[in-house]
Order: sequence, then structure tokens, then C-alpha cells
Amino acid sequence: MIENKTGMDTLELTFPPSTRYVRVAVQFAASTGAIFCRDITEPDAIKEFLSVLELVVSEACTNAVKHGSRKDSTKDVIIQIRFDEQAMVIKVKDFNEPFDFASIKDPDLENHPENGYGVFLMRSFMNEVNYTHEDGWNCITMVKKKPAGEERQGQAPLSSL
Amino acid sequence: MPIHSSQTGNITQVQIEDRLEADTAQEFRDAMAQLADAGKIMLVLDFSKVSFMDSSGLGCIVSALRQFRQKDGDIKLACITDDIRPLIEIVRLNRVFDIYDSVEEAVKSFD
Repeated sequence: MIENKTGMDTLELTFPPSTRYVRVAVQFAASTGAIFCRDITEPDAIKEFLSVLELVVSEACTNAVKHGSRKDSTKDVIIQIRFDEQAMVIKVKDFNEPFDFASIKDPDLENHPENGYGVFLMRSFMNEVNYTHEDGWNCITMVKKKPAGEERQGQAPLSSL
Repeated sequence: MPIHSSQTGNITQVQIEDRLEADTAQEFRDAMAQLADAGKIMLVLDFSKVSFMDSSGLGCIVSALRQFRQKDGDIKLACITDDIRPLIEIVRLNRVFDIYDSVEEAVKSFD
């Protein structure tokens, strides 16, 4: 765990670019999410939050493994999670050439394609999904606010995370 | 990936006991292909023990459905858990799959 400059905790996991390790990243996110949710009193709200978290982390990490880190890459995939009382910020990084994230279209839901759902699911279930390319790393950053009714007043805005 | 199958008449019930994700997708695809090749094309997929599914899992079941329907078969889904239901619904797979609360109902629906 790394204490960052804004006083928020950052947890980080690195794993080799193989789908076999994606579930490790998912469990890492779920464990962190459980800590984030510990002041929520509704079990269903926690369950729903963690289900979404597991799904989007699986999608982002699978994409990073399959489409990101090159087969000959020695660079691991990195998942970094930060949170405060209001939101979790999940960043998934793979070392590769940049791509045009904004041009990724939603799947044709009327024709039920066999792939292409990953980014759509991230965009659907998260409050924010952004892409950047930083020092050779593709970075997908996703923000999920704490479930409604549990947000604390007077906390720092999401933009400060 | 533990996949258990049993037969009721010409209906094959398949229970998956694992996560359905990128790492297990190929094993599931292989199991579906084996059933299709064996002519077992009337299938009930029991999701009661699937704790997690992502888009790789979605792709698998869509692919299997196409494969089975091409052979004049069908796949019905049973016992979708609350963890997975939102995923199924947001990609509108509930419009292409018949979904039942129990395996028994799904089996009967083939009558």
C-alpha cells in the first residue's frame, strides 16, 4: 500500500499478462471494495457494488491481457485502486501502443454479437470511464461512486482523487 | 472447469460449477462443441452454481446458442443468479434466450 500525496490510500497489484491471473485481480478489487463498503448497512447494496466492481475489473484486465500487453512483452499488467469516502477509482495499465478508445462503439445489441461487450459494460456500470496513454502505458481509469444514501457530506470532490 | 451433464429423454442438462470468464471460456466452448457433435442439441444450462460471468462468458453462450440452433437445437437458461441477471439483461440476452427459474421448467419447455 502506498500513501499518496492527497492522503488517500492507493493499493496496487501487478500480474503477468495472462488470463489465468485476471481472477486474482478481480479478487484484489473485491477485497478492496469490501473495505470501501464497510460503512454501508444494506447488504444488497454492498453485494451489487461488488458484483459490478468484479465485472468491470475483469473486463478491463482481460482487455489489457488480450489486446494490450504484447505477447512478447515482459511488462506486467498493473491494477491500481484508490478510494476515499465517496468513490473508488480503478486504473488498469498495460504497456503497449496507444489506441483510439473513444472510437470503440457499443455492440449491436439487437444482433447479439459474440464479442465486443467489454468497454460497453464498463461504460454502462461505472460513473466514469476514461482512457489515457502515459509513458508507454495504456491506462483505463474507472470511477464508481459509493451507493446512494451512503455518501458522506463535506468530502473532497471526485476530481481530486 | 467442472461441467456436469445428465440426460432426461432427449434433453441434456448441463450444470457449470465455476466462473465463466476468459480463462475458462475455451473449456466451456469445447464442452459445448462435444455435445453438439454428439447430437445432444436440446440443452438446459443450469447457472445456479455460476458465481461470476463476464463478457467472455457471454460470448461463449451466444456462440453455443448459434451453433445449436444451426443444428435445429436450442439452449434454455435456468437458475440465473442475481449476480449475473443484470449482465444478461443489459446486453439483452434475455431477448434471445428463454430463461427459467428452475431446471425442471426449462426441461418442460421443450415439450
